[in-house]
Amino acid sequence: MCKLWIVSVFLFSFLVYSSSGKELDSVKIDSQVTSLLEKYCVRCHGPKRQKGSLRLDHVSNMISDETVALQWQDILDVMNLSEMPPEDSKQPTKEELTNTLEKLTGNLVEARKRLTDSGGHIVLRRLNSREYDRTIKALFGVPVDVSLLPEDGRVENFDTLGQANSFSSLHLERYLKLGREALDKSFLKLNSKNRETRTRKEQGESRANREVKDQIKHIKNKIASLEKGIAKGKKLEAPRDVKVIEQKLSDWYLAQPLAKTGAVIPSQGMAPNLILPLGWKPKTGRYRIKVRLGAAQSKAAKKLFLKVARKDPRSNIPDALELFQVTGTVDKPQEIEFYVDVDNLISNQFVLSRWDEHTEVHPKFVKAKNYWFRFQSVMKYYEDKRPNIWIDWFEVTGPLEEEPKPLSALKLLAGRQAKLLKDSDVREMTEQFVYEAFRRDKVESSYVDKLMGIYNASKAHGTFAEDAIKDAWSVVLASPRFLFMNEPGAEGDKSRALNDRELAVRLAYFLWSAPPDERLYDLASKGKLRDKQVLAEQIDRMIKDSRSNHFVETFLTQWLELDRLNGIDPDSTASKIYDRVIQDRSRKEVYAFFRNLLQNNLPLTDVLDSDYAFIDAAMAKFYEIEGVSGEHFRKVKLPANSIRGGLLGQSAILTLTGTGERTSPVERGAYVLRKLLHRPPPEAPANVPMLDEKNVGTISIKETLANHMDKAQCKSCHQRIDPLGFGLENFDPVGLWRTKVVSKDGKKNFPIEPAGVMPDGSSKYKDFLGMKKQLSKHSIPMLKGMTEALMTYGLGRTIGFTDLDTIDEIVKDTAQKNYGFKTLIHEIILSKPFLRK
Amino acid sequence: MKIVDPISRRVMLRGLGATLCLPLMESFMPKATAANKVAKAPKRLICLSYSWGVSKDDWFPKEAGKDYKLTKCLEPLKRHKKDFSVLSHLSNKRATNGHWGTTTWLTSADVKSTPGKHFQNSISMDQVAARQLGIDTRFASLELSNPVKAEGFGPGLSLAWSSSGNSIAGETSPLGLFDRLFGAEEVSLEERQYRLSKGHSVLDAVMEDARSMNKKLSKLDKEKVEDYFQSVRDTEIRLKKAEQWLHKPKPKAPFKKPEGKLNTIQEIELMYKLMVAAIQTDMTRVLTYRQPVEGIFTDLGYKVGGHKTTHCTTTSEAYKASIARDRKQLELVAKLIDDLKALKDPDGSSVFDNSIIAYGSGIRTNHDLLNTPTLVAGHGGGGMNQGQHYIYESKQTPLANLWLSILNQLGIKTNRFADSDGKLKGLFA
Repeated sequence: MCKLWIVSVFLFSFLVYSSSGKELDSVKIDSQVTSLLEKYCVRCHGPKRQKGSLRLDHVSNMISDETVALQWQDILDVMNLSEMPPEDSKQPTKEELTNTLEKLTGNLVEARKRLTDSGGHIVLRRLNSREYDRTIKALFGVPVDVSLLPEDGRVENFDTLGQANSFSSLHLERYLKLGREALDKSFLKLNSKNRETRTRKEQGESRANREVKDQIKHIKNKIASLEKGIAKGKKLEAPRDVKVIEQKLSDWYLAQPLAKTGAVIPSQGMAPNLILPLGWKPKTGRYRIKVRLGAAQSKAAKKLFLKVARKDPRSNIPDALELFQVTGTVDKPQEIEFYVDVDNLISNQFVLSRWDEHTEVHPKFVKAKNYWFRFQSVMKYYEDKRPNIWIDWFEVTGPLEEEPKPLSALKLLAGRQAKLLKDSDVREMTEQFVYEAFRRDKVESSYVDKLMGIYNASKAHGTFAEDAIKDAWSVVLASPRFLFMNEPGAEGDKSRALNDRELAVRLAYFLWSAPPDERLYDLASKGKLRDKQVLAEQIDRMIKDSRSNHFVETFLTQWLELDRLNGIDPDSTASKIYDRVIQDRSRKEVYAFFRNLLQNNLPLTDVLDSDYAFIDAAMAKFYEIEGVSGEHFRKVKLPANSIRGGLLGQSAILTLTGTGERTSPVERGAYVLRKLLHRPPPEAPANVPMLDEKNVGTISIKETLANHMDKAQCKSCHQRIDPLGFGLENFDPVGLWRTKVVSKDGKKNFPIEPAGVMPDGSSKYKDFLGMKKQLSKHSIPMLKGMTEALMTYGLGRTIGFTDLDTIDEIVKDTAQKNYGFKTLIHEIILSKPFLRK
Repeated sequence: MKIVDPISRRVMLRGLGATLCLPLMESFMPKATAANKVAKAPKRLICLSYSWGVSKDDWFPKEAGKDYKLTKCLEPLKRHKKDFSVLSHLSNKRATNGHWGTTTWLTSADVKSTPGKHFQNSISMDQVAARQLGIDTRFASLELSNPVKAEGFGPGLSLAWSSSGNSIAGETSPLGLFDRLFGAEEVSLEERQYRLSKGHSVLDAVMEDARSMNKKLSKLDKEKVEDYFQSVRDTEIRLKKAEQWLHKPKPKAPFKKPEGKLNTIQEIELMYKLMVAAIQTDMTRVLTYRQPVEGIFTDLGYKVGGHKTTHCTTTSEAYKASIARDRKQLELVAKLIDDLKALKDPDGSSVFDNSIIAYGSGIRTNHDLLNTPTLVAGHGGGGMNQGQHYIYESKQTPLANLWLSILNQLGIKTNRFADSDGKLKGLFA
């Protein structure tokens, strides 16, 4: 068997060298693995004996197909589970096993990558629900309820990959339904005459006082009914007392001078917020809200924030939209302005409140809390000494005139009575509609015939002409050429250059997740888009356009897995100042950081370390950085040796890798390997028992994870993962600095031991700053990882073996041009995989 | 924080009041034909699954055989002990993802084995059964599911997967299901006839576009459009089924449409009631339900997530929550069994006697995919040896062996399912 292997190794190494290795879609099993098997396994599973009918010398050492991969996976599994070799036979040493497992795991990861390599082919992409949503909005200017669509498949957390997007009869049904919804809404919009923008202004006091008076009535009734209960012998004194205080506070509220000129929030005892009405049944569209406000005192307040939230009827926790720093006062009020999107699908109530750090129930009411959770506002704000916010007035303007312009097909229809249209008119409009919906693809007349058939059958059935048109057009919005990115293949399925129209579509969905605009279509139709100069100008224009914000946010959310933050409940964290607003702002910090890099073409090496943070007042307050006010994110210079700066100084990243209650050095370490060092560790093997979690919180995390180094099965991967996580242990579960970890029972303090070795074993570090310094030497791997992620997202296919040369070239060029983010986008778009089919 | 409104529960219970006192099965059953005087009671299949596995030390019984002791978690099933069995050592051996609770539970597929594809599932056992058991009913099968993302189910919209390996969407709202089963036909017969014919011309039009696009696509892209063609074909089949049933009015609902907001436990309860109602009115004989888990913790007053219960010590709060969840889930199953026992088929046997209920999850606990929790209840028309804890000798016994045995027990002739290597002995004759 020895010989057999030698022969095959020789044979394959010959092949590998003769073809530079890169075209081969197979992976050779490392010789360490084969020699270990030879030493310990072949005695029972070889030519002489085949225990369990298994003969390992017959397993090919080249993984070239699934069958072989599975055989090796099985071998890895039994070794990971320590099932083999059996206890009574000779055992490999720990070191042998560690090395072998590491090599074999790596070989299998690599093999999996090659076996699923797309060979550069982009599988026909369907609009995912995000792109569908934005496409419908771009075409019709109306939203539809895309939550009805089945969840999209993901590969590597990206939602743009054709191979992951299935299509079922439910998709077809829902696309027909949503298409109809879009048409219904846009026809309504087309015909509605009452769409002019209106402005309504209301004084703070008129709104608030009305609410308070309503509430007083309610409180009085409640007290009466509680008194009745008490008379019957029920123990309701505690809640009654709360209500009595609430009534007093309400009276007091109405009597205070500032309540006569505005609304005061939180108004002690009252609902601690002000609900902004947009009017009864607001029309679908965008609204601008202006608010004049200040601190409810003559002196400017130091750290006072106004929170704007959309009230979600299904939950008590309002969805934070914006946070504004209150810099004005009663004497010198400030004006703020924000925009909200409104439709009949989501809540249209907006709530203004003071953003508070964790507010505890006043000791006086601790007992009452168990009875009446609803009155927490009075319990929390009683004797509250912090400054209030005074709201002079607010003004609602909307619905605002908006992009996009209606489709030409719809314009043809505007102002005409559908029932008077001739068949030829309807046909002309339908052709135009199909052309626009299919992203200017060629319109087949046989297809229009079928649509006209539907229109005529509907009319014959007695349907109104307008509805008959919708019947036909909604079919267009469920047809393949609308739903899929149609890129016909070339003769013999050879690779070919994209035509101008296809390029425009690919560009637009990469940078905007929406169809091309007139300018792009126009350049495409003139055949100019593929001109390098023109293309470069267009890329710059598209990045500058606000639609690229969607790209920044979506790409970062998917690449950096920011969606994991959603699973972390701020209330479950030990931090008293981490709340949903900070969580929201911390996510926006990541967006703002990268948006700045993109718009100003700054070096991506800043991701590893930067001498600035990109923050707003709320994040500055959270990070304890002085001198930042206002709600916009901006560059703030950091002192030397600051712990902030770079991605690893950002709360969102440090939080999403933990559970909220505790940090996970393993998750954090793996994250650094995946996102920054481009050395993704393999997935945790199934069926391997978890560490005994009994000890979590009673011994230090380092002791808990020490097991990882004892067992070869764990060590093979964790020796690279865990040290990076320990280097980040000075950051608590929400990303604030700490110097010790308190045990679960609060009785012990564990020291933090951040020292470690870089995964390649090259260099040691003493602490987080040392580790960051080491990490910043890895700008090429970081750039490589980000390039692969961007290409996966932008091309809609996995990046494989086929692309290695392209990636290397892009990385080299970008690095030479100072690592600019915008440069990287240019390089990607100008690369072969992007320009070709 | 989720607040349970005590009123809504009352409202719901009013809706469910006195549901199943009148097993009027006979009137819904197909009439006996001349050749076959006494209609044989049909066989039925119910598959129930959930994510995150079970409490590691308090779910699986220790002893094998008839006299095994019910564990803390299994206790709620006590009154049915003779009518169900616990099966140990069954696994979907080819499952590899420790976060996918239900993706391959009923398919036993190796989703990574298709070259060039990251994920490819295969047909689920219930869909194989539905091909035969679903011929005579309004719905060949009913898929119920849970819409919440990130619940640990893994890819898929329900437990069911079509023959092409595509996920079949499930009905996620009990009220939606109620309407689908019993909702009044809003429009006249003529209108419905017209709509069906319109449905055909819609499909005809999209197929026109699909065909013309397909002609010019490369080979690999054509495979993708095949999904689209398949969706059109599936819709065609549904339209045809609807045409067959066009002239037969829907049965009356055995209870009033419930109102009010439901918490998770109430939602599962209601789904079970509706499943029973669907069987009672013989609208289907094959049902699957991928049920929610997260909300159960909240409903029971625990503040933990499902994932956390899989990584906890046996003394922690999360483990208490885990046990409470297991028990609550099985309490609901016990009630479902009560209802199925009370329901009689025309030949006098109970629906429960003629059904098989498979209850389990693709994950044991933690990220453990071996020896997954598996319960089988019902008598499948007779001939099953229920009431035992079967510990299969090989720890590598494929779960597919159970699926194969169930299919055979239901009268479906096949020798293989997925990676099965034989029938399960003991439970099945």
